[in-house]
Amino acid sequence: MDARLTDEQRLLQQVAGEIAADASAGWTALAGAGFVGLHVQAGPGGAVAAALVAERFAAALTPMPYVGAGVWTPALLAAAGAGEAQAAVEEGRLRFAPVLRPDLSAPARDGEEGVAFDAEGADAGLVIASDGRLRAVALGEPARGADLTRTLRRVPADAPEQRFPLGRPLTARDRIRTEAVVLAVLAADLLGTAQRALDDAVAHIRERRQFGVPVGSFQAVQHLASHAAVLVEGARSAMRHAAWAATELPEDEALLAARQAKAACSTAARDVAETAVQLFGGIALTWEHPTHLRLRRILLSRAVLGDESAQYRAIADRRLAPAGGD
Amino acid sequence: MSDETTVREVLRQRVADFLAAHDPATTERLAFLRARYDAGLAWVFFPEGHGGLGLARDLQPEVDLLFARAGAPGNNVRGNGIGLGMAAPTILAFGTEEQKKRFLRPLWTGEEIWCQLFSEPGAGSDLAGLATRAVRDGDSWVVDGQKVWTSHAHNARFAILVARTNPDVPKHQGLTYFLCDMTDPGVEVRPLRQITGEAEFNEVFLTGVRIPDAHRLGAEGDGWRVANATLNNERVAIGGGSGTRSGGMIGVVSRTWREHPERRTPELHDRLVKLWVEAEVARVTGQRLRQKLRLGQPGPEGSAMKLTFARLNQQLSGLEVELLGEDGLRYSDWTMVRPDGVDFTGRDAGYRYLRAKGNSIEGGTSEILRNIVAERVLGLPPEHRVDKHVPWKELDK
Repeated sequence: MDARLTDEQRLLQQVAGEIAADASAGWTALAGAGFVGLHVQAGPGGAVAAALVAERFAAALTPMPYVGAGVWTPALLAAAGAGEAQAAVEEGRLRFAPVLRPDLSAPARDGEEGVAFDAEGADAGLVIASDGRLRAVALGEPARGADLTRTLRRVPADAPEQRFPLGRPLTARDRIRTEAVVLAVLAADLLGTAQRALDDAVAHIRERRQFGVPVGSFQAVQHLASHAAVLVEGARSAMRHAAWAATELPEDEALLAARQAKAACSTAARDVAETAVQLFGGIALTWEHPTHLRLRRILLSRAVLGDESAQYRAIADRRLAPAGGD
Repeated sequence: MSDETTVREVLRQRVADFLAAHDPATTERLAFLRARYDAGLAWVFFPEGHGGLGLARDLQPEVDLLFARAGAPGNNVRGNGIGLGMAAPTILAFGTEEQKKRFLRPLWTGEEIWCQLFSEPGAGSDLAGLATRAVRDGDSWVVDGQKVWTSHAHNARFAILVARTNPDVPKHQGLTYFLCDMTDPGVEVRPLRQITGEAEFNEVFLTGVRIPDAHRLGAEGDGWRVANATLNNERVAIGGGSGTRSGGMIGVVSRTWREHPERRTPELHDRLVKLWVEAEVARVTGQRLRQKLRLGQPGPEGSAMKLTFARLNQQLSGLEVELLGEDGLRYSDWTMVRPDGVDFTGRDAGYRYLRAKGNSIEGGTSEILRNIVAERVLGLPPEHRVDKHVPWKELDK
């Protein structure tokens, strides 16, 4: 793996940052920039590209459903070879939200109640049927959640199916590969949120004065910030490695790297965002300050496809089993 | 084919050509190592003429692997960590051509072992406050003082040394960096026995040691800047990670875990899997850091790696002792020995646990490293200091 960014990737980050900063930019602008299904179109290293975009969008607390409608469901459609739907999705004419179990820990079981994640503006939810086939289902009422930047919608067990041609059944390998990509991109979402929380907090403690000096000159405050910076850099390494692995390593290794990144970014993001509250002091406790939006976003991204405890269990099954490990 | 792929292939060919011309099986060890240095295949990220080819640092592991596979002799990496990891990059960055020519080749081949005379009984975290004096006398300097925590001093031919050459200016400005001959009659080395029973470190007493001015590294009074280059390299050398998933302390402890199913508890299981993930994070961070380094001069980012390394080593070695229960407290051997190198993961669980206690102190305490991350990585304003602008001789000591 080469973790250094290419010029092309830097440009991508820049464009993503510009779209994220433009409040008037909608889904059409995002699709027009080629960001929907980016990891599918971009070939090798495509998941890294999608992760970089997700990181920027999360940093700006962008309300657009990039992870669910821009990465996850396009990945499912591509794996199923649903060419027509995929093309409509990539052009921004059609939008799907992935349907998860009510606790968000895994894709929904077909025929059971579920929750559509990142469902803002979605035309339908995508469910993977027991035979591996994709099914489009109608979305129900909004589900209220902690995160104020993304939308969840209920999907009742008897949600009516909508007729779209959605390709062939997914194999187990397709599903693992997709899960690895999505976990890596969720890790990027967590990292982007945490990085901006830290950047803002550091800018604040450089300026905020007490006792006649910037509070950031006190070691007690500096060490909180250093701790957070070390976590962010580690999380970034794990995320980049996982995004690279998602398309370049065999499925089981890709999934392991993705689980590690999801676990590392979940714990780091929460710790960093909570540390940022402490660095900001009272202002971070106000509704107007973005800190609570970040904490809320982190709590949701952390839960989707399993929080760190769930990831640890899966990693241990593979790495700490008596015969495991190299 | 990308440029990088081409570079790799050319380099592989170069190694193959070298091995064809110098069969490791029949070439005398030292002759082989010297020839490898002269061919630029010692440290490929060093410049041409000084054992390298001016290439990226991340090409080095493959070169080392190709030589190891061919059965090539080693250059005593374990016994000369200070020389290879710290003295060499500093000499490269600040040395004159004569100094680079004189010192780098025998350093790399392991003919000359190096040690580091920095810390003093009164100057640990406050390294810039050190008191060892160097007084100019004609073409040389006369050095008097006491240094401590000196690994390899008992085997070393040379030392990197920081001494005070001007007590009349603030402490950071009055330091000068020297290359000290450890065979000088004024150098006395005494073992410093640690909590592990071993004496990996030494105390070094310097009495009227004469150092020629030609062995000054960098300008008079510029020693702090030169020393910081060494320290940044030290943190990467200590905290840079093992490079493999099963290496380092996590490898050792997960092996112990697999071998002792009867000792497992759910609580230890949860802690170990979290540490597994953190070790992986540290490993890929080390990989990323090494890729960012081009010509061997790391910045303050290495401090973050070393912080993580220390915490992980301590938590993992502590977990292993708990896992092994009463066996974890057994300790094979308390005999005082003076080892040839540093060993963080060797011997038994008790040794590892005790040795790891030093990881958050040696090479910069974790507290000092957090200051460095705050001030030099995050750009926070430095804490108010009473000693920074006062001549060194007027400070309370």
